[in-house]
Amino acid sequence: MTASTTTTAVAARADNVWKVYGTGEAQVLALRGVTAEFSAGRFTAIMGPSGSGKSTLMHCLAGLDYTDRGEVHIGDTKVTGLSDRGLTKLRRHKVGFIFQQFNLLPTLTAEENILLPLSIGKRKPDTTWFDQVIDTVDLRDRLKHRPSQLSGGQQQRVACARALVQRPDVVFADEPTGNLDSRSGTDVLKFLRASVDQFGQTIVMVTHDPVAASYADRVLFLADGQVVDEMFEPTADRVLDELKRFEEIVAAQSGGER
Amino acid sequence: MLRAALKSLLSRKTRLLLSGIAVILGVAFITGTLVLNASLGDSIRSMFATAYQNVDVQVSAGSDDNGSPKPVPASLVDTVKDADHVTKVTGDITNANGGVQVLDKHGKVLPPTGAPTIGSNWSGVQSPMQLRDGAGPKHGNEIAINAAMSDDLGYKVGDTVKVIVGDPKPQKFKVVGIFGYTGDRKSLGGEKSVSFTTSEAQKLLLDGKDAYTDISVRGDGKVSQTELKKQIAGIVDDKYDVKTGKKLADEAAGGLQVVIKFFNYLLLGFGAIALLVSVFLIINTFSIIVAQRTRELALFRAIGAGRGQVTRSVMLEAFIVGFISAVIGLALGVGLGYGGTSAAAGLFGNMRTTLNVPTTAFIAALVIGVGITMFAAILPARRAGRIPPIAALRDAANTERPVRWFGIIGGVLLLGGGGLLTAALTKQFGSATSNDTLLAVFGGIILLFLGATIFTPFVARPLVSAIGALFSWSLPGKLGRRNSARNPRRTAITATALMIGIALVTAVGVLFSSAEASVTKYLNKQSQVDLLISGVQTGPTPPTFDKTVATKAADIDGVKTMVSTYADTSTTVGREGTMVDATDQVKDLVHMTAMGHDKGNTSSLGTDDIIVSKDAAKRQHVTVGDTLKVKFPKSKQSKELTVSGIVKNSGMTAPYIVSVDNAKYFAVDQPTTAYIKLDAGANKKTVTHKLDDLLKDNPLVSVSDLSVLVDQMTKQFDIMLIAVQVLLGMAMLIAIIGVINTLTLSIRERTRELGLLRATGLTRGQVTRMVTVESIVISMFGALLGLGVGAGLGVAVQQALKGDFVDVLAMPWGTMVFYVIASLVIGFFAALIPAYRANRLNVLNAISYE
Repeated sequence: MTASTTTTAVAARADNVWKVYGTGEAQVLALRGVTAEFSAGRFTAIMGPSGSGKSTLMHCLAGLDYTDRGEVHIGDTKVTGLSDRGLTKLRRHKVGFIFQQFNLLPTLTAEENILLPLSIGKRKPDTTWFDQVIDTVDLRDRLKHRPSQLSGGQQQRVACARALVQRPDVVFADEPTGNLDSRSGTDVLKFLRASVDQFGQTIVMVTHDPVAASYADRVLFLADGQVVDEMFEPTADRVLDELKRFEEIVAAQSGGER
Repeated sequence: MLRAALKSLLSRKTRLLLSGIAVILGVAFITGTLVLNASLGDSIRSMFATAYQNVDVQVSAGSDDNGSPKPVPASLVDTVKDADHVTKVTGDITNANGGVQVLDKHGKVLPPTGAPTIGSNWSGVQSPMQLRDGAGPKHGNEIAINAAMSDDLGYKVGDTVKVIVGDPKPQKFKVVGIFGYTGDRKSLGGEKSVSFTTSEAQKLLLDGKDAYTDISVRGDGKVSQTELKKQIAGIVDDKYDVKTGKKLADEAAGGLQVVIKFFNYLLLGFGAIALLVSVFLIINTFSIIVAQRTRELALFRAIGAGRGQVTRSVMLEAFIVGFISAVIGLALGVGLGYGGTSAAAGLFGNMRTTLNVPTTAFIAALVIGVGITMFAAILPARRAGRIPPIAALRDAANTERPVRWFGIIGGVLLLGGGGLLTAALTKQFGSATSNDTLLAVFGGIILLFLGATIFTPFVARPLVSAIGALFSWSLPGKLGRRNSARNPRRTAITATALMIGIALVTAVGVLFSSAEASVTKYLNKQSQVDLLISGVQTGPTPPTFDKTVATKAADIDGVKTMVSTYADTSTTVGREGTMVDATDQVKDLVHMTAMGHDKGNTSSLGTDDIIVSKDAAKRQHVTVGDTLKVKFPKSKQSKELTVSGIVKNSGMTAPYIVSVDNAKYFAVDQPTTAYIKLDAGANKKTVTHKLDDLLKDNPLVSVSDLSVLVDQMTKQFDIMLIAVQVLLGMAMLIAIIGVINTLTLSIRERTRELGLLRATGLTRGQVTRMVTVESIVISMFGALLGLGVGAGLGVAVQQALKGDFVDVLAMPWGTMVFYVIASLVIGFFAALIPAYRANRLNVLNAISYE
């Protein structure tokens, strides 16, 4: 991932994606024809009230879940229709993940956790890159510790480092600060921001926290399974106002339907 | 990846240990058996090598039809002496087939169990023999006995003992010497020996001929045994057998080894069952471990691990667990085998034991330990590979998998097995004893067993709920009941492990109790025999009594009918070497022993007639009017006897009955058995006493009450059933570990739930009760399944054997109730550790458990 990546290149793309859960009475339309592009070297946040489909969209983009209609691309790779083998390869080489919780293997040290994606693919770590990542997340003196010996913020930073160490095309983060106190959360967000600015990393983050969203370059708003708005250069206040507006609209709509 | 798998394994040591125990026990059982076999074989070989250590070459004349050695003339000793390299030639007279019996202090014959009594001539003391007391016999009325006999019967130097040789009249001898063997052994292999002077031995055992049963040759050590044998074989007549001492030792050991081999196959069979049960346990453990690690494995998948990598990591775990268990099991097995050998050595008069761990034990331990574990882990490992990466993001809720396919496949197998069995039992494949029918019965049973195993998860939920209803009067009971029905597959696999052992015991129990009931019914209800005069056969021919005893007995007050029969055990009918009875009261015999008339004339018997049992007629392919070639031991040539009648069964008598006119061709022309029916009001005790008086000079034959015989038989069946239960105990023990394992793991899985329950006010006692109910429900489920399947199998086999004397069906209710109660107790104790662990959970930690 280099800074030379042009800002116009698309790292991930969703094309009229539909996703349905359940059948019959219990059927839920999680995504209703979502089309969105995520530029390379940019930090995009996906926001929306619960049930808006933001996590589902991310899972579909990352190839963790199957789409019912529409197509998903990561870089030049068409994710939709890939076999399990193809998806495994995609995850191994092109995608990194940061989850809200249960991110680390409790039996491995921080260093082993960070290097896990490489050892799974039987690849040698690039020491300079590894050092760079470790210094950015400020974990050098914690490498030999087990996850249980680390604070929540430190654990999440280990998870971030692990997502970056394989130099993926896209890092998907699912509520990465959801389980952290505000200071640790800020650390993680600063690190994510830095990885975009310094290394040109592409990040797609799902969050419901306006402050977290304010670290992104762009915010995509989802409601009821559809993209309803987007915002560039967000600030926490603007995001909060926008969210409130949605809630009012949604409330008015559902009131009107009754 | 490899390191991650290893570390993950290390962090779950205790859990894997539990599944390891199953493999350890199974492997220990199998290797123990192999070590026992090899060590016992070695010990026996070395025992006989010692026995023949002074014999380089032996010359004998083979055996006669009764298995007794033919005499070798004394003159042969001088012939052999002239051969080169011969230093010493000894004429031996030995009888080891029960021809010599020493009576105990009460004048009774020793029971024919254990090692035999050996009668021989005294040929001096040479190593490893040692004289312990007195001296060797010098006169005809003197004997020396070995220390084993001295100890067992309490005879000392100077005592007078009664010995029976051939003739039922005992003769008196004076003990002048007691001998033993080096290493403080009382006998070489548990045998009791009595030595006469050579001339007395010739008189008693060889009809007074100046001969020996064999001649032992000692070489000068300059040539090999084989070389010496060649030389001697060159100078003696062709009709003599010349063998080396080594060959003799090997032959003697071989006979015993056949018995040991059979016993070994039996043990190996039970070991295999134990291993089969461990398969279920391992499948369950690995399934649960995989379920618990769902998020961890999904995380692997999310960061790029392929399906194969995840599957292989689980298989690697299985390999390591299997390997470590195999090594521990092997060590344990060697210990068991050695212990078993030492215990068995006690049966052979404290025979010296050697430990031999055969290569097969090593191979079996590794192949079985690693193989079984990895085989059992295949399914869970494949399932692990199929975990979608998105599972890392979901709560680790156990997604319930449908059990419909288990129902369908299990149901089809059950129907197929049942159909096959029904068809076989209704003789669709020919007669009851045809190979096709037996094969169909066997196949049907296997299908039923498999079907029941696969069908179990399908019925688990309703059945477990039903059993649980017994305990759901309280809240913990209700929770426990629901928990046990929560994962039908897991409950089913745990219960199946228990089912296998109990099903086998029940099936065997049904067979034994049916056989017992059939025999009892026959002896008590059908046969008209109240008392029986007979002896226990110890030698080549059955013991007999004087003809006058029969006539005198018939005159005793209270005796209504008395039928005496003559028996011969070395007659050949057609091509069958068999036992034949002769009698002059065939009508009474058929009636009293409830043979049942089938065809022809069974109430009288001419000199050239023969009555055969239905089974024997089938074997010989004859029916009434056909002839059978019969060769009696003392008839010059075969006689053609006409089948005059066929009886339904011959439970108490021989399958062939001829006229008493033919008894003169028998090996011993004297009655062997008398069947006595008493008058309605007769006093059984008085009559028995009078009969005892008649027989007091004949220690080989006694009067017995039929009810006593029934008791003895019942006891034998009971002992056999207990033996089966003990041997299946290993399988059951493993199944109990399975229950503990499942509960422990389920509780870990539900840590958060337990925390919630505790936080909302469930006391520790209530948690314990909840876990206990779940445990008991699972065990009872297994027990009931086992009883059901076992009873079904047992009844099926009983029906198949209906024609073969097992005509009464009797359920072993006592055993069955015992297992239901035992399952309650097992459930209770299996819950102890898991409940303890559940209670040790810190409430807060449990809720925030991740």
